[in-house]
Amino acid sequence: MADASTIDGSTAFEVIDEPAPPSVARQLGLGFWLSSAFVVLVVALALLAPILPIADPDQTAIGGRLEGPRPGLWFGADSTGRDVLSLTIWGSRISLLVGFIAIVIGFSIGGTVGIAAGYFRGLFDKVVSFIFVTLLSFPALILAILITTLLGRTVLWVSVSLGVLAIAPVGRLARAQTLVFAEREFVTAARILGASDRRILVKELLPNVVIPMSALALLGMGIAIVAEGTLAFLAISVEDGFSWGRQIQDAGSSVRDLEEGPHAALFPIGVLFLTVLSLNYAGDRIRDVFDAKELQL
Amino acid sequence: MALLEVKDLAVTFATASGPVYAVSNVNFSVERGEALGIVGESGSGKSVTVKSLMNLLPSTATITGSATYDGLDMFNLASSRRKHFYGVDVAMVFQNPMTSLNPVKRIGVQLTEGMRYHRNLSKSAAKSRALELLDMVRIPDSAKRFSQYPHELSGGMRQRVVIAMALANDPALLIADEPTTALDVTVQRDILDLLDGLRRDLDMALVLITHDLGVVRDRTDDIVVMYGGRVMESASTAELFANTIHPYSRALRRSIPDMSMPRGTRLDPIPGSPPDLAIAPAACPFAPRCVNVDAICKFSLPELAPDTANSEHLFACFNPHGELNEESI
Amino acid sequence: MVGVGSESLRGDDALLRVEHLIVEFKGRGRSKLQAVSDVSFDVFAGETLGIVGESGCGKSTTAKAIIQIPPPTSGTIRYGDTVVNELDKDALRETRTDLQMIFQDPISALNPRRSVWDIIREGVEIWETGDRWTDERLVELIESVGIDPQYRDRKPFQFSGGQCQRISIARALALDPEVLICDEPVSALDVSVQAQILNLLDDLQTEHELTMLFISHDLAVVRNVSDRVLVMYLGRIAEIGDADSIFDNPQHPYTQALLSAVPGSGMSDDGSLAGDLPSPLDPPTGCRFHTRCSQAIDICATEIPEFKQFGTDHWAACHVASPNPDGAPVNL
Repeated sequence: MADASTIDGSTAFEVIDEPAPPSVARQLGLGFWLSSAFVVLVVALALLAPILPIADPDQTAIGGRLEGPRPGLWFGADSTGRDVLSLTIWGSRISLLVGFIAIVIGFSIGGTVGIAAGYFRGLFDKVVSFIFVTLLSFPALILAILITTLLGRTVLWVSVSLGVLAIAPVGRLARAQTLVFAEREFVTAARILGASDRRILVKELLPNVVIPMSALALLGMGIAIVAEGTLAFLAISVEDGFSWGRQIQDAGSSVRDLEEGPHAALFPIGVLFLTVLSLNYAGDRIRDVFDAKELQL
Repeated sequence: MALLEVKDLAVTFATASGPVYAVSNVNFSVERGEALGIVGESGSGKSVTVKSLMNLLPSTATITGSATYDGLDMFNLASSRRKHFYGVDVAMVFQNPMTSLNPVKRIGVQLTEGMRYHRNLSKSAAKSRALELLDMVRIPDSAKRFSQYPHELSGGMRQRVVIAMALANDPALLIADEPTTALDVTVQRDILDLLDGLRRDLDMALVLITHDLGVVRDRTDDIVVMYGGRVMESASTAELFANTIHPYSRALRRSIPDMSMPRGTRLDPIPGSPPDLAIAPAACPFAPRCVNVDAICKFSLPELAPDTANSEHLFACFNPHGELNEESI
Repeated sequence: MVGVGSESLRGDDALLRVEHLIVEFKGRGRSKLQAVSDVSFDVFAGETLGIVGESGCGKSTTAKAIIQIPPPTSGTIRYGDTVVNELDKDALRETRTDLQMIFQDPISALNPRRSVWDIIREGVEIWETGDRWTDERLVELIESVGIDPQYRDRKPFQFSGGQCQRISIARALALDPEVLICDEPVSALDVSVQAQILNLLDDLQTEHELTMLFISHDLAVVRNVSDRVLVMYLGRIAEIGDADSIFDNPQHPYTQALLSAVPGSGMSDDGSLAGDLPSPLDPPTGCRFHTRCSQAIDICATEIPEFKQFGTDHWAACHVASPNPDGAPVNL
């Protein structure tokens, strides 16, 4: 701040006149906080599902067949009379878990390999780039079917199949981001100071790559959740579990049911949509604010 | 009446962290055929000033004050007039020639585009005019260059092409924003001489924006020195160099190393950093770095006023000669 | 003949000696760009060598080749008794601590995500010299480059360009270097700030007994800082030697042209450069400057000029310039 004491020009140092910048929280904006709050709510409900005062999702005939929403049965009932709210909360557990594991796999492998390729360049980079291109060209659905049918339709393998699909796009972004920063002079400076490759990767490059990557992670999680839903719809997702995708498939596979009580499908679709939207929006805001701020120009 | 007359120009940008007062209280005029140098460092507002004239500011900018071109209000042009105003009456040359040129279009196409749009020239008429322009900016082998792409030209040649494009429709006013900053010293002089010669030959007004006093010294009739978004001093070039009044202009001249100084000469830098434009102008922006600073400089804005000895020499300073007693700090 | 272009070397006790340096880059396809062609010079301890030339003349490449970024194609780089280009990876890492560098773009030279303190402490952390470089001494260092230590936790974007350059300088000094390579250290700065940094470098050179290589396209700046000057054109040395001798009595037509191009130099246009810099991919034969030289004669296009001596420490590679024109005194 330019208070009176810094205006005198007599200080031996350069005065940093700086208006109080709006806090990061304010820069992120209301939308970011609403989105985050929604995601936190969904995650909290998923984690707390066993102790929440909600109906057993497997118990039928809690409401009438495709009974509409009413107090006490806020999301209505499905075609077998199960509580749609309870189903949606329990279904979020597998959806979120699959999305999370898939992204962890995609980022730990794709991110590491991509950053290394962008930094070391040379033959390693060429090989990695070729593998990424191959992975991207491979039909995604067939890869997922292959993994789940060969290895089992469990949470782990469904997540792995989606995670493998995330490796190439994540890796390519990590590589591109690393290339941008590896050319900047602070990396040269670090090398002249005597920093090892490892140190340059961890201390200089990683912090710069991590913000755009985290934005992508949130986006990727949304994509993975939708992808799991697609797999469930095709009946090749988790076998003995209940996810949003499965729930939507159950409720939406019969046209007659859909016409009679669309709410059984619309509620999980709405929650899924809002969750993915919130993840994407939050990711976008993080990238905008942090990148614009620290990498100005 | 002057060809370009800028009065009380102020530009404010709305940003996420509040308003930025980029330019305030700027006044100057340029006669037909004359050259004006606007000198300032980054943040001085020199580029924002000319961008406001060229209608190139983003929508976050608020412009007040007036600018007239041949009596015409530049900030309120009728849309039919505006269509054939920029690039015809007033043209601009930017700092980096590579970004002013489209890398995937041939030089000839880029040169003729504007003429054909503004003047409905036939293809062949436009081409012969383009070749004439390339000769005018002294590009050798113009016929060959006509069908080349920008990347096939050197930096100096590209800037010549950019100048040729600016001249395509015979502008009466050419604004050049740091036209040689991206170029080598050896090329710099050629480009400046070229602009100077073209101004004389075409009786065109030239506004030359630069951070380098040396660049404008021999090539302009008048100079405006800007700092912190405001005009600090303005005078004819000869007068300004003979009798530099404002402490900023003087400090700027002193701080630049000179070829005539022997090696190891201690320089006389201006302490501190360029000003922050996010603070509403309420005091002299140079006060924190000024050797003649006085109490009044810190809470009052000096007006741009004529020197008693020369009414054409304007400066904005309360204490140009350090006569006021500096209060003890 | 042996040692073309190495005539200007002044004996064995130089701190830094570069001999027959050649740096090539791979161009498109099979083409090769020779950025530096057979350049030799030496720098004595405590001296400042200014390297000048137009962009693309190889001045930065020459300086960076000393610290092997990238390693030169051929040539010898001697630092004291060490042959830098023969060191293995670890020895090079260690030798480089003596040969530090500051860059043209002060913003790009600092990691935007790290605090000033972390940036300046980086060398100390890498080499575990914390016992020598205590926090107290680092704070003093930060003060000595003109940054208020209370801002040490700020990130680079909160500082101006000039301040970032100060931080960059402090980072290099924390390694106790012998040589500081300054690659256009003031050309990205505002004119009013340039002088601050030049004065600071001058002070620090005395205080830390630094030897400097100062690369710049701005002749007035080079004149201000240099004891000796190396004028480069298209990868070759045009003129080298004592700064006063070269600036007061330039012999190579290229040096003359450069000097006359300085705004306000008052020098006549006679030496004005014709045409553009030729492509470094296909440099002219003979004297590389002959295509733009107003004094060129036939031999210039065919034969590479040898160095001629114009003073005790003043050498120029030109066919036309004659060491004793019109009986002008030459201090030998």
